[in-house]
Amino acid sequence: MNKNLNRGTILLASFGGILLLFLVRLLYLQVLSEKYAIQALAVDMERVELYPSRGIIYDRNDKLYVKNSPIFDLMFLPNQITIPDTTILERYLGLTREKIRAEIRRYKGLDRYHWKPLVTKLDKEQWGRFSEHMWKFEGIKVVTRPIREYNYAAGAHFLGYLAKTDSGDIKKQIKEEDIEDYPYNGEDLIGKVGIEAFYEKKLRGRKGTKFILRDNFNRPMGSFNDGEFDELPASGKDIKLGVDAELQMLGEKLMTGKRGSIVAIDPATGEILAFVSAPSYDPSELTGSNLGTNYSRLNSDPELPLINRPLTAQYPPGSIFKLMQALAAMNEGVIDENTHFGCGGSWFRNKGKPACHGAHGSVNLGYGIQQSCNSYFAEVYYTYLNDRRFKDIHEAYQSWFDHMAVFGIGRRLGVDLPDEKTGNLPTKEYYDRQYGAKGWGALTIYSNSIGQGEILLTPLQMANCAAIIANRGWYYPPHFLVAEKQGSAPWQNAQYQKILPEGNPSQYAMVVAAMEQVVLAGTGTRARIDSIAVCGKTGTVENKAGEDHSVFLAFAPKDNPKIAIAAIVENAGFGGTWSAPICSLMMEQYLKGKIKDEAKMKAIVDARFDPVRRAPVAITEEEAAAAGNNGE
Amino acid sequence: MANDMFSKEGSRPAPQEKQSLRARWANANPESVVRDSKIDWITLSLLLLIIVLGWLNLYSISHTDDPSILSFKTFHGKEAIFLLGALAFGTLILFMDTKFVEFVSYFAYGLALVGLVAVFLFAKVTGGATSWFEVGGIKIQPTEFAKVATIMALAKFMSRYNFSLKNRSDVLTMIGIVALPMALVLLQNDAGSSLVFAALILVFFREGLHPLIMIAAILLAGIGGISLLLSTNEYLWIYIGIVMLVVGAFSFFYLFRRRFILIHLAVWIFLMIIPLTVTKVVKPYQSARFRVLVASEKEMRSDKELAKVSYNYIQSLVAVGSGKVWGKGFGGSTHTRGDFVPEEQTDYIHCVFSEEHGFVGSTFLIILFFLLVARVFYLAENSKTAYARVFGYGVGTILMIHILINIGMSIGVVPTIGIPLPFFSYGGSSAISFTTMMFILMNHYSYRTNILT
Repeated sequence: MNKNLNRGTILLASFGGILLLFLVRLLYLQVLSEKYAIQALAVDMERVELYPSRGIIYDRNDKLYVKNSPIFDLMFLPNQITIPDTTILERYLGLTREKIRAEIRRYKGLDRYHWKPLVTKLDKEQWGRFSEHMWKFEGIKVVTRPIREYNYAAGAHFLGYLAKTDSGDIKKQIKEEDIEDYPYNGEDLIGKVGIEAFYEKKLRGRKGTKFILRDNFNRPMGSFNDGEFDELPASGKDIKLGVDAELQMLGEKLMTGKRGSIVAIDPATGEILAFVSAPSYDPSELTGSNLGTNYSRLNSDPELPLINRPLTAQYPPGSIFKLMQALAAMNEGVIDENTHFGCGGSWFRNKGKPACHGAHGSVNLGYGIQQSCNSYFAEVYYTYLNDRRFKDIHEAYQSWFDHMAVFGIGRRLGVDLPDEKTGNLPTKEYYDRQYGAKGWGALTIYSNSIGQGEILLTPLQMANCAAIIANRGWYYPPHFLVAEKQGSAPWQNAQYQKILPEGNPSQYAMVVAAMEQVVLAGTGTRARIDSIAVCGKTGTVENKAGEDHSVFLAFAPKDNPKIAIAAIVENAGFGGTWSAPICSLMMEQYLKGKIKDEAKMKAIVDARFDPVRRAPVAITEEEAAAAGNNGE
Repeated sequence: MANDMFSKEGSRPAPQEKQSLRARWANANPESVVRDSKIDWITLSLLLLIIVLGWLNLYSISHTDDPSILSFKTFHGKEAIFLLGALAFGTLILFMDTKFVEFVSYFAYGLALVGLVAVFLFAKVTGGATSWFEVGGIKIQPTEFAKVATIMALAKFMSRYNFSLKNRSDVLTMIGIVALPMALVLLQNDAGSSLVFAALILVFFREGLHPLIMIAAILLAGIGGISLLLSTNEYLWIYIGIVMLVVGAFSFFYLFRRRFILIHLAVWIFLMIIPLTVTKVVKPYQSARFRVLVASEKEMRSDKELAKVSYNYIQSLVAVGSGKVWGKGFGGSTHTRGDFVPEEQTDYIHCVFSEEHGFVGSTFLIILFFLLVARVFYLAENSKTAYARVFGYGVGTILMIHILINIGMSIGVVPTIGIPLPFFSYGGSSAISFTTMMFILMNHYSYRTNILT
């Protein structure tokens, strides 16, 4: 039996040996190999994103402008759905029997255990009607998603819209290492243009995360680690814009059926009060279920309603440019308020060009502005560029260029919207390239003096010029954002850098007085408002492709101005005829809160201008860049 | 008494020299004590520890919010009732007359055979295997009881006066005792359990079976296993040819020294029969369980049979592997509980433990099981009777094979064979069966001092 006794030991040793091998295997599976742990996490856990509510937008008077409202997606589980009555779906959701069947059959295999969309983007009404019958179905549920809702059907151009993120947005986010708070997926909405895009990071908030354990059939089993790793979403910041919603509404109404822009600025703060681009569209058109179809309709509209004109359309400024001319020349000491030049119906130096609208005789600065005398300003420009103090035309032009740049011309103003255009202020190098270093002088580029030629301004820049003059020489960069707040916390005002004064207040006073005369007795009499001292300047922009554009630049009241405004109506002819009254109505609305002359308003709303159809951008961006614009 | 637990038979002090309190009390009151009963506390505590761990493990995957522990509504509640019943029954056995336990061996065996046959008559067919029937709402698996009954009968027969492995009729009877239930189990399509019976050859080995027969058996099992692993491999027959040449040459030149040509032929034919059987008779879904152990991920996707089998295989590996070093904690077996692992309460119960307690826990459990089996072998080796020795080795063998197959399956080194992990897998029949065999063994050990040698 002793021999057999060892056999027991052999058996036990073999058992122990195999168990040791098992331990080695366990060591590999549990300690050395990461593969299985990763695989387990991948199948067991579902990371559910909890969406924050997007920040809402107020106007300057704390009126709710943009808010969130829900739309509904009807989801179903292909392996569980039971439909007792297809007529309900057909009646309330427009789903035919065949379509339902096709949807259910679309999903095979494991997909059948996951929630799939049956109908998406139902509005409140559709959902309300259907929800009464929801209980009759099994394996369906509803998922709520917020979309933007607009209390005012205006301001589409500066508000922008939300659309699904595309691969470019996601790549950009990764490149900018901005994935911490709100990693986009293909279903997320992102601000595509306007305020929604510019303040995307403020408005979107922070996504929350919930880890849910799933079983083999995708049924939730509860939260992972009792929610230890879960994070609640943080809603986006609410923002307050400087825009006056009523004024914006009026502006869009006035521009009905026309092409052009109105930009109004509070000169004391730089807040943009109205930002009208015509033709426009209702911002709610680009939300929810209609986004796709409406976008393609708007995009193919020959009137180009999607173009953001105040920001991207660049026009020659026309006669409003004379104000800046006057200020630059006075500041440089080339002229003073008593400098007189003669006007015989055209400029005497250059073979009668530019022509003037009437022979103004001996003209001083005030009268030149009041009557918008081309001869006078051509001569001012000539005098400036040929001043003895300057060594040559290059030095003289550079001096003039620097004065113009102070007005924000030829460079971005830094408004809080994406894709701002610079306009165009040609450099001396540009003229060297065009005409040779010695081949040009005041007579070559005289048309700059009256705001024609190569000079281009965006309507926003025009309005900003109005604000500078209203302030007598300083401005805040025009902006929309006034304040922001998180939840119920108090508003936090946004801070902006004041751009310091240029020139002498008395010189501004001189120009302002002349602008008042423009409205009282000059070219802009249609801008008058009862009991308010309005200062303005007309502009008529020659336009090779068709009728002249009508431009008006104004602010009011004269002392302590509350609103500075610029309007351009394409193909509307003389500046004093259409743009001046549009500006006056806008200012009246803003300053008095109502409009007295309903007939005047009706006339403007009903006015239509022959659409000599062309792109509103006089020259393309590439050409402007080639023109040596240094306006960054 | 405490001294006795660790002491070897020879070194044990004479009862007269140092008496326990109880023994002194017994001496003073001779009529009150029938026997000097010595409960083996080591085995009992090991057993209770494993039982408690096993039940807690089941409790941890219970999906229910039902707070009651003893309840027929939850499986952990049912298991608790079964285990308590089994422990009560075991305690009863512990204080029974050893001779009585030996006496009922054949009856138990007979009853078990009746049970196995009854399965064919009353059982409901589920999932291809017909291995249980229902009495009063409780499922009874006669196979589990047949295991303990078979080793009882085997011990009874092999402890017979004059039993010898050299006696042909003794050997045939001995084999018959195992083969009969094994055949019935095999007919129930329960290949896993029949393997448990086949493993009882280890008991024969301990009792003096020629080592060559063991080697041959292992070799045959090996060839069978390899044939299954390679059953779809185009080079299978070349491999088999090489094995046949090697084995043939070995037996020709060494074992039988160039004699007994007929024996060589028999060996060769036998060697042929196994792969033939394996590749032709074994169904593809069965051989796939072997092939999946060595299949690449690509094969698992492309082969239809493998694809079916590989799900369980991979999910159990993921469950075990995701436990990492320290595990996910009690009740934290997310992968197993998520029904990704099938049969997690029974066949794949080890996944739960490994996932929740990690490498540290798995190692602890394996050591615990090794200690239990070692203790069982120790009890068997140190018993005074042949019955206790054979029975003890039977218990050890059955525990061993269950542990190896069940744990080996969950870690992907043994093909999918559905047999329970002792004291861990859910199931009343196996709980009662394993507990019973442990207590019968302890019963024999506790009374061994009463037997004169």
